[in-house]
Amino acid sequence: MKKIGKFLSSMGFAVTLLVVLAAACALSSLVEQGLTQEMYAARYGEGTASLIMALQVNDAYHSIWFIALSGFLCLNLILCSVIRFPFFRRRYRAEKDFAGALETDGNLGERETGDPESVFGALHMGTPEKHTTKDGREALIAGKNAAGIWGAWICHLGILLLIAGFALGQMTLKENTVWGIPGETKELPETGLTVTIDDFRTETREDGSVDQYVTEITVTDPVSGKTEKASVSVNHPASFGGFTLYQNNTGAAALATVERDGQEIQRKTLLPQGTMAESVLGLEDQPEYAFYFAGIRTMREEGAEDRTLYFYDLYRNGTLQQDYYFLGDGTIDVGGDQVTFSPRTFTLLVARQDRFAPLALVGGVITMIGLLMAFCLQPKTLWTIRGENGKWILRGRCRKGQALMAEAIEEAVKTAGTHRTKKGNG
Amino acid sequence: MQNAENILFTITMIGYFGAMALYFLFVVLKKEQLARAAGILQGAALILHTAALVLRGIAAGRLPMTNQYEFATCFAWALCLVSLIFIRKYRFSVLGVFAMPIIFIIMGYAAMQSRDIKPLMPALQSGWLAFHVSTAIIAYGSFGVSAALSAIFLMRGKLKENGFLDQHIPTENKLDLIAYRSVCLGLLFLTLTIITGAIWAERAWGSYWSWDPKETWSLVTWIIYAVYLHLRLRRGWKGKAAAIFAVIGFVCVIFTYIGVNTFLPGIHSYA
Ligand code: HEM
Repeated sequence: MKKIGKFLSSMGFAVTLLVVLAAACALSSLVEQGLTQEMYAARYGEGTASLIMALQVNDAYHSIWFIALSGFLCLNLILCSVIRFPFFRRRYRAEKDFAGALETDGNLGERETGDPESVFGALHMGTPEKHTTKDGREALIAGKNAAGIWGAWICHLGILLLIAGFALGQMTLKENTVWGIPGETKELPETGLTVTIDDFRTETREDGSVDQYVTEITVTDPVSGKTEKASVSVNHPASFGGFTLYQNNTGAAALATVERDGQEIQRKTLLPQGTMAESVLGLEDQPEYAFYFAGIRTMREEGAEDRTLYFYDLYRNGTLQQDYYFLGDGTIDVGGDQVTFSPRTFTLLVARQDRFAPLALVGGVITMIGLLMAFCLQPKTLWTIRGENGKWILRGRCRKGQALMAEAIEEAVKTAGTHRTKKGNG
Repeated sequence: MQNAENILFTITMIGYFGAMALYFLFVVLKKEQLARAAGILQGAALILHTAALVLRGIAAGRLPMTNQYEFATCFAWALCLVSLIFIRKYRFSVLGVFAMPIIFIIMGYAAMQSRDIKPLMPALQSGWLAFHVSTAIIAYGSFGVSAALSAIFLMRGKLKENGFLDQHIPTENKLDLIAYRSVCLGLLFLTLTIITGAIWAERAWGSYWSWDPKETWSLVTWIIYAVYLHLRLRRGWKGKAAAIFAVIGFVCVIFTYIGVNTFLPGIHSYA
């Protein structure tokens, strides 16, 4: 049991997990996510497609093995953080323990100096404290960056919070996508809200490039009866009732209306080449007829404006009767009913609620702080002890980069105008 | 304005090429003065490069970091800056021999991209852009330098046979330490890049992390450098294995930067 715990909390296990996780992410990114088995088969052949489906590579980042790997990583981090906490505390206390340091040789070698203050100053160690060694000799000691000891621990804590925030967010995420054209009202079942699209415009610059997509909406909460108007554009989402609404996409659509004797009897917005629900208009009063919005083609000619053609197919009892195309609006007579198609631009909005995103952000920031502490706060201590000859013996210790620190001390001692006795062991 | 920028860019390219040649000659001919001249030429070219970037920024009315050309030239600029700092700080001219070819190749890649100044598409119009991209550039530059240092570390046995080089390369201990420091710098900035990118993605697309290939590869890179950090703490793995991971890390950086756009579909397709 103890052995298993030790293994699960070990750094070796952590490194193995991290390498496997990185490799899994890298390989999965090479396979387009979320396709069907048929689509994979068309790309890679039947055998590979079956393998992709069996190993859940089609949705790798939500697959059982990926979640298991992440779970083990968290377990590893939790165990390591808990088990090593006393170790970090001991190390921190040792770093702050000046009296103890004076009794050691340090790890930066030993030098002599007649002017300790200027050496401390040159090494940016601040003003040293006065101490005495156990055998009663006079000593000066200064330390800094002891907090850096906690860097790795804090970084790991941040990573845990980040993963927790992300995982909880994924589990409790509420999301709805709606598309529509101005004038339409849509329900967002996940959110319980109703959205009316009042207006949608594409703002362009002088050169014709798109500057911004803006959707004006009215959001209603049917339960509370609360209503609010908002403007949603790219990079400027709007919030309502705990949900955030984003401008996500846009594209061409067609508004189909069916009239009989000048009276509108049916209306539907169609997307080109979509699913049955998105692209097919079945005539309610003549169920044998249906239109399919077959696509859009833009014709480019030198020196002329682009022209966009809209294609519609008429089916009768499931067999194609005729195809039509129009440059703009077009009306077709079907058994006495007038079916009119008008080009429109649809807007696609996403409503989302991720209650744990702030936790993930806090985790990210703590990770960053931990890294900063681990990398930028190098704990170091420097001390001098008065020798018999009146000169000061200079020693020090640091955790990383002893070679460079020893060099810096060497420089500082030289500029303070003395000679060294023993070479640093950096 | 764009003409002036093009001229500056070309002179910068020539300057970098000259500096690269001088660094090589320094090693072949074993003349100290050549290293000094190379350093001066590299610095001068860097100043011209900076001027080219500033001109472009003024012409575009924004930070010049939004398309493949701009990002590539900024990447080379950061690599040049970071390597020059390390060359000066650690009196380590041999680093130039390894860093200059990488810089030159990235400049060459930049030269092949379209230089048209185009207005930004809506998703890119965000204050987070400047933050996100400039942190990425510093991260990439630092990782480039650490890869060069680690390559020197791995080849040190061979290089040592040359007495002249032996004098001009820091001890293994120090090399490892300098490489470590530049990885630390890179990782700090990569972490910032990912965090700012996530915040921005949340505002632009609604989801702060969607496993888009570019996001995924930046995570892979981040993990590789985390592995590097841990390997350095383990006895037996410290030198060589860690150095190999620093080189693999930079391969991931390059793939994240160029490969993802070229080979994989995703929402980051513009930069
Ligand atoms: C997944 C499980 C992980 C475990 C079990 C683990 C464990 C450890 C351990 C035991 C140390 C040594 C601490 C010391 O003695 O000072 C360490 C250091 C460190 N770890 Fe992790 N770690 C993990 C993941 C990560 C990740 C993903 C990162 C991200 C960057 C990370 C960042 C660090 C840093 C920055 C240090 C300090 C390194 C240095 O000072 O050079 N760790 N880790």
